[in-house]
Amino acid sequence: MPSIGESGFNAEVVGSLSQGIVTVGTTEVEAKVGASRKEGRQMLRVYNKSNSTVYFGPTGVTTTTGEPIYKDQWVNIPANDQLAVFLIAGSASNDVIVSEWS
Amino acid sequence: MIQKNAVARGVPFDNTGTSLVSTNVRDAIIEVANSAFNASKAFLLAQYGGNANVGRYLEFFAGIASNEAPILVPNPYKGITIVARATASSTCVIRVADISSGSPVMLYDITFTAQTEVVASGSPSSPLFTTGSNAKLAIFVQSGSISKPHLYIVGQGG
Repeated sequence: MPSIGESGFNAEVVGSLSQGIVTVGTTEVEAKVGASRKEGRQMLRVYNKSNSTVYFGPTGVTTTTGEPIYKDQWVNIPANDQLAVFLIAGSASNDVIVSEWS
Repeated sequence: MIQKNAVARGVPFDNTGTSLVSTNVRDAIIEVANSAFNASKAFLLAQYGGNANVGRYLEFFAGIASNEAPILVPNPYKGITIVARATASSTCVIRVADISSGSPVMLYDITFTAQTEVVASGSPSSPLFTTGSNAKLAIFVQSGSISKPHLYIVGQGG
C-alpha cells in the first residue's frame, strides 16, 4: 500500500497468456488450459477451429441452451478464475483453441 | 462484456429488392446457389419436315410424333422463350400442351399470322408457361397450317 507522496502506480506489468486445445464433444467440458483455470485469469478466449458449432455456457449447458460459437468464430469472455465456462457440441471430437490471459 | 466476431451466418442480409427470402448472409448464399443450380437452361427442339396441318404433332425425336414420344418432365418445367419458324409464310396456331392426362392441356399457343417467325419471350420469374410435375410435353398444330415448322423452347427445371 503506497503512502502519501508515493506513486500508487505499480509499473511492473504482470500477465501471461496460456493457450491450448480443448476437444469438445457431446459431454460438457470446461474451457481452460490444462488441469485448472489459470490463476488470476482476466479473460478467456475460445476459437472454434473445428467444422462443427460448439456452444458455451455454465455447467449443464446443452446445444439447445448454450450460445453458439460457429466454425471459425471466436469469443472473448471476461471470465476470472472463479468462473467456469463450459463447452459442448452436437458431435464428438471438435477441437477449439482456448486462451487464458491473466 | 463478451466480444464475438461476426460470421456469415450471423451477418444480417437485407433482401429488399431481391427475390431472396433469406435474412442472413449464410442462408442467402445457399439460396442463391440453389437458385443458380435450378436455373440452368436447356433447349427443346421440335420440328416437322413437311407441311403441317391441323392435328399434326411436331416431333422432338426425328420421325416420331410428340404425342407418341413426348418430353417427360418429372419436376415443374418453365418455358421461358419460344422461337418458332416456318420455311414459308404461314398462318396457324401451334400449341404446346401437356398430354399427361391423356387429353392435351394447353400450356402455350404460338400464333403465326402470315409469318415465317414468331418469338415469344418471357423470363425466369415470369415464364411463358409452367408445367406441373410429371408433365408430358407435346406440340401440335391447333389451327391453320404451317410449312416445315421448326421451333425451340428455352426452359428451366424439368
